Amino acid sequence: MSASVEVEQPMVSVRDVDRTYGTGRAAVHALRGVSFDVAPGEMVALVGRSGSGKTTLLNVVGGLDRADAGTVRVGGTEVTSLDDAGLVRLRRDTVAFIFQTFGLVPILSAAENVGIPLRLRSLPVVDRERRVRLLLELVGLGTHADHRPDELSGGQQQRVAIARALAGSPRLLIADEPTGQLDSETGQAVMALIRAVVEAEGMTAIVSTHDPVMIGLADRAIRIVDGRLLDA
Amino acid sequence: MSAAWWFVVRRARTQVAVLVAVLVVLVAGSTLLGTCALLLTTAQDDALAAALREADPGAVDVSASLDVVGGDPAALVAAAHRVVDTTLAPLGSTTSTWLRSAMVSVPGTAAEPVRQGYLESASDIADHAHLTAGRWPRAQPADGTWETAVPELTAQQLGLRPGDRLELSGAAGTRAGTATPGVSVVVVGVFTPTVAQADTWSRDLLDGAGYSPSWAKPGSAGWVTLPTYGPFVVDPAAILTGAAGLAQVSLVALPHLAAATPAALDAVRVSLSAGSRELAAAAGDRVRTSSVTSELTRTLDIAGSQQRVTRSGVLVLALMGTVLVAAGLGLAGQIVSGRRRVERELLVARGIGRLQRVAAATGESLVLALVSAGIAIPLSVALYGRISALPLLVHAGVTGRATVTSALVASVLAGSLVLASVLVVPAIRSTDEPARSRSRLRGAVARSGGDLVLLGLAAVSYLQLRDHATGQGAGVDPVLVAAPVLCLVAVAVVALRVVPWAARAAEGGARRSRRLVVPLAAWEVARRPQSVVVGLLLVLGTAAATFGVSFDRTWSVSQSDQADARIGTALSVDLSPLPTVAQGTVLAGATGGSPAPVTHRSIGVGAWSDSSTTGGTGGTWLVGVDTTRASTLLRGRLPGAETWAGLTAGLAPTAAVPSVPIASDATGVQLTITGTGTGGGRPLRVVPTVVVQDRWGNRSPLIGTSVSLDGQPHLVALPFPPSPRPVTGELTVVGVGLRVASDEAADPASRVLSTPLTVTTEIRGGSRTASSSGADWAVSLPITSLPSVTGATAMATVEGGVTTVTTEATFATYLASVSPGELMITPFTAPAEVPVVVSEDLARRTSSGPGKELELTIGAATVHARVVATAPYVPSAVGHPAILADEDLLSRALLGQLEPATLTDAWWLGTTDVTAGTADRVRGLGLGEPASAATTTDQLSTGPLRVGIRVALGLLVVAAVVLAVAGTVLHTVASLEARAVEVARLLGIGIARRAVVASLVLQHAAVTLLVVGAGAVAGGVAAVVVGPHLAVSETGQVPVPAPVPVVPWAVEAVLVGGLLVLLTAAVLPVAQVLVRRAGAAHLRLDGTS
Ligand SMILES: Nc1ncnc2c1ncn2[C@@H]1O[C@H](COP(=O)(O)OP(=O)(O)OP(=O)(O)O)[C@@H](O)[C@H]1O
Ligand SMILES: [Mg+2]
Repeated sequence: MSASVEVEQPMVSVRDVDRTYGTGRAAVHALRGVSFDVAPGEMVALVGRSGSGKTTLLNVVGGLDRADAGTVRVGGTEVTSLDDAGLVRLRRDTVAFIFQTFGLVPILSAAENVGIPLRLRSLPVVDRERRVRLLLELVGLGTHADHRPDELSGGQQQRVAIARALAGSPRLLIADEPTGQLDSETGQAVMALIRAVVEAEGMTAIVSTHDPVMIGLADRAIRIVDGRLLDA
Repeated sequence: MSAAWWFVVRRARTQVAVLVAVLVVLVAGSTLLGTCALLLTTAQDDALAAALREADPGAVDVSASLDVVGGDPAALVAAAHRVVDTTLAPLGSTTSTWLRSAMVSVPGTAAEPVRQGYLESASDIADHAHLTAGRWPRAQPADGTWETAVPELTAQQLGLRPGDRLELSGAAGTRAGTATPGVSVVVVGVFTPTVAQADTWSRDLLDGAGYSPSWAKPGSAGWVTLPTYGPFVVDPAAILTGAAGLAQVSLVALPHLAAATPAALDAVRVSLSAGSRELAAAAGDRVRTSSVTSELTRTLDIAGSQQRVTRSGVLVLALMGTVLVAAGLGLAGQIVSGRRRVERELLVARGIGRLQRVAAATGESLVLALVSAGIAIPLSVALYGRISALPLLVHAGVTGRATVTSALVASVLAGSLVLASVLVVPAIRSTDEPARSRSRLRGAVARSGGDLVLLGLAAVSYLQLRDHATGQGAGVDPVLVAAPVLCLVAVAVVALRVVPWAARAAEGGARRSRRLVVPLAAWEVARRPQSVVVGLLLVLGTAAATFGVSFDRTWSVSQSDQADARIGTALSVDLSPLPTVAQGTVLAGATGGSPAPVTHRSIGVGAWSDSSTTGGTGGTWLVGVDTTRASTLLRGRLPGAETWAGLTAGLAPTAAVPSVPIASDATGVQLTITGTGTGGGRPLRVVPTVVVQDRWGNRSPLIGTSVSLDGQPHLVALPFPPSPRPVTGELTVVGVGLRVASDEAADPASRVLSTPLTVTTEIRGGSRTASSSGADWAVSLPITSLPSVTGATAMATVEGGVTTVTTEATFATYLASVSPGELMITPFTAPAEVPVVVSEDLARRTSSGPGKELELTIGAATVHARVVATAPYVPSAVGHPAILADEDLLSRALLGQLEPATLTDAWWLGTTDVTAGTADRVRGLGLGEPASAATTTDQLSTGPLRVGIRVALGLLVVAAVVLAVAGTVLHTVASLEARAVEVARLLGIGIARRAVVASLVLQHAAVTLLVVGAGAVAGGVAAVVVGPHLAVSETGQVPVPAPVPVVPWAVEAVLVGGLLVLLTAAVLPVAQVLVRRAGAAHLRLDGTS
């Protein structure tokens, strides 16, 4: 495995990325010259204190936010030079997000939420429903398919979010403090689930957290302090 | 400053935009109310002034008349003037004075030994007559001779020309033994009366005719008829100081109404009621009868009731507008409180109690209300100014300028305060969020309970409205004003409840779709709890707008229906005085149409049951028209598919009267009468009357002079009434009446009991040929127990244009004083009964229906009628029990009853004969004031006292559309902003911005479609169900014919379609901006899901 890392292109390649909010005296340098690579199939933990720039970095990598300088490549595509349509395509086909606050559409049931990425690809209804059932069973919510988010616990909601993230078969999974709103036990279970599906689907993953326990589940950890990476 | 107040002020500074939005809605609502207040007050005052300005003089003038028996004439006239002047003192007036002398003898001739005449002075004679020769008489008598002007016919009959002198000796036997000395006059002018105002010449003894061959006057032995001539128009002094003596005083005072104030009108109303009494007191025993009469009080009453009806109509619409604005403000309040939720929670957390919060909210609303009132008052005045410049109001003459009145200030202030209080509601409500989900079920139950209460209220008020008592009271019935609003709101609320069900139907489709955008929109529509307030606003707004548009049509159509039914035809001219032989031709010439002679008068009706008369009814209107032309002549809506032609089928006679042409020249027609018969040793005398019919079916009698039945042929001249002259050779004879009498100077010694009588009447038709045959002719005799004429037969021979009718009978001379020796010869057999259509109320009152018999008393004659059908009303006789018959058959029946008098009371022009200028051309003929259905429609729907309803409807529709659009935009901005986080999530999942915008617009369009659709249905239902009951007549009664709901589909479609497009278009930019702005930053705010 380590031999192939040498020759294979990295799944994520970040070079000298800067991101500054505001200007002048009020300017906040959220990211300063960040560079790192993530190999395909690797699960990386992004670790840092609150306000250190984790969310900013993940949003830039996933194309939700734009870098002021530097380049980001995901799966060989230069994200930093993509136009709006390109970014939409990137998020639809390559990258999937898991948010700290789960980000489910409140009026849709668990199954319908999971079905969204499949609908984006216009999958035939029968195929879509089969895959949704499969994914919900995978995250252990086969019996909760028709529940709305407000009828699910936080952990269950996050599992639905994971199922939805997996639905589009992304090559890169970005999870921003997926356990942030969960108690530590549930958090561990969710983290273990992410670990398991990443391995099962052969995905690459970047997971931000400031929970040391979670870090242990990752292949390696990247530490960020005040927008700079600490060499681990 | 309390903590809460400090917070309110700080907050106001940061939430300027929201508060401005609230203020805009508030100002709009208050302005609507203010404008309605001006419509109710200023506009109505203007309208009354305009209505009185336009009123017919006959509807507002005050006339005083005195039948004088003695006393000082000048003092009497002065007293009458005083009474009239003081009665109208608050307004000021212009008075015209007509004085008439007692009868004087006019020098006779051998043919007409006894003649009478009268002097008359009319202060405004020059306005009502034109001179054909000479000049008007002057005041100063020259050598004791008074100057006079005479009517053309008087001049013609008496052979007078300017310069001729005439000795009019003292009264011919008025009061036996008190013969007054004579008056000598010199003719200085000859005139013809003009009949621009038909009423004017009714003040003259002979209605301006100038001559009557037999004017009846009381004689020593019953009524005596004498040939009468006049008026000899003279200076008033001739009557006041002259020898003839004053017999009649007639004053007509036209009040100055242009600047009439309501107070002055009230004062006049009071003094008018006492007018007759005061005149009688002033005149004392110098008069036989005296009276002060005026239509002014009635005119004011009608105007008052019109005002009342219009006021309550405007109030209804203003109330609808207020409910709309309240819904709009409810929405605004909800948005404000939504924005302030976090702050409120903070305040609660800081220990600020509900009471303090409510106090702060109340203070804030108070400030808003005052600011809004301050803006709305001048805005209302300005808006009213714009409205009064609209063609509709200019046309109605309601163009007065509005000023700030106390009514305006009061209603705007009250409206602002009430509306602003809606904003306090969210502060009173509990803020506990969790309670909301817990009480969802309870809320639903409470809501449906509330719906039921509302529906119940609406049902009760609808029933009230349906059997509403007529608007008789002075005030406005609050139940009737609230009823339509309640019904509209109830229907709207019910319609709103249906919306979610319709939306849920979309869900299934969403599940089965493989795509995202449309299903997402469908889910949003079906599952996201929609704001009830914005829904209510939209439903109500749409409902009010569609209701307004439809009611406007329903109302207008009803006014036009009422006008049609009231006039009965396209254009009618009521005649006073009687029609002349030539009128039809004159009318036809002026209008290019076919005028129809019409009977239109009040008659007595007896109901027949088992050959005994029961329950007679007076005041029934008889309308006789040519029913073969009913489809174009008769107007007025009938229920269902019924038509007037269908209803009146079978009323007309099967065959036309055979044509018996008669030659005529410019002055009259001639008959040749040869006859035998003796009484008292001398030949009997006979006075022939010929009933002639013109081309248009108008029949009028021409009375000839008496001829002797001495076996010799006598040429009898039957003169036409004064101008206009008929067209020569158009007349046919439909009846010849003969009145047989023995010579007054007969020798009593040679009296015989009875004598055979033969009268041969030769009617020469000139170059025209007659179509009657000898067999057609029949003789009718008076129905009496002691007939003086018996055994009458008629034999006719027709040769080319000459018809010769020989009548043989036996004349009982000894009975001549008991029953007149009359007979009527007609070229047809008189019908035994006349089929008629009766109005439903007459049928009810006489408990008659199809098949029943009625007895109609027309003049001295009695006609048997058989009811063949009932109609809801009879055209031109709305509001009265009435009978509709065929004019031709009716006239034939009357001729059979020896009644030659004309039946023509009016001329009608049918739909096909009337164009824009017809009324003016007819007015120019001076026959009488024409009344047209079009003008009446105009008066009813856009007259000064009526137009307020239209304006208020327009305002309501505009306000509804504006509020719906403004509310939607406000709501969309607020609701989409609240969903910014969700939009960011969707974008994060990988949905393109355009797809998100599409989904947002789609769901809004869908909701809008449902809600607007529900509103349109609600408005339509309200218009169909409630509208007809709101369209009351101008006096507040249920209109005749009953109003039918009218939905102008095309206009409604444009309105609803436009509203949909407008509302959807308003959402697009908001959604675009929102989606463009949504990004990573929003995801950070993601705290609530
Ligand atoms: N839209 C913004 N405008 C200004 N500054 C911002 C904005 N978003 C983030 N920042 C700043 O950028 C810095 C990095 O923020 P970021 O959210 O990336 O931190 P984080 O590591 O995710 O923190 P946490 O663990 O609390 O989520 C912070 O100092 C934050 O204040
Ligand atoms: Mg973060």
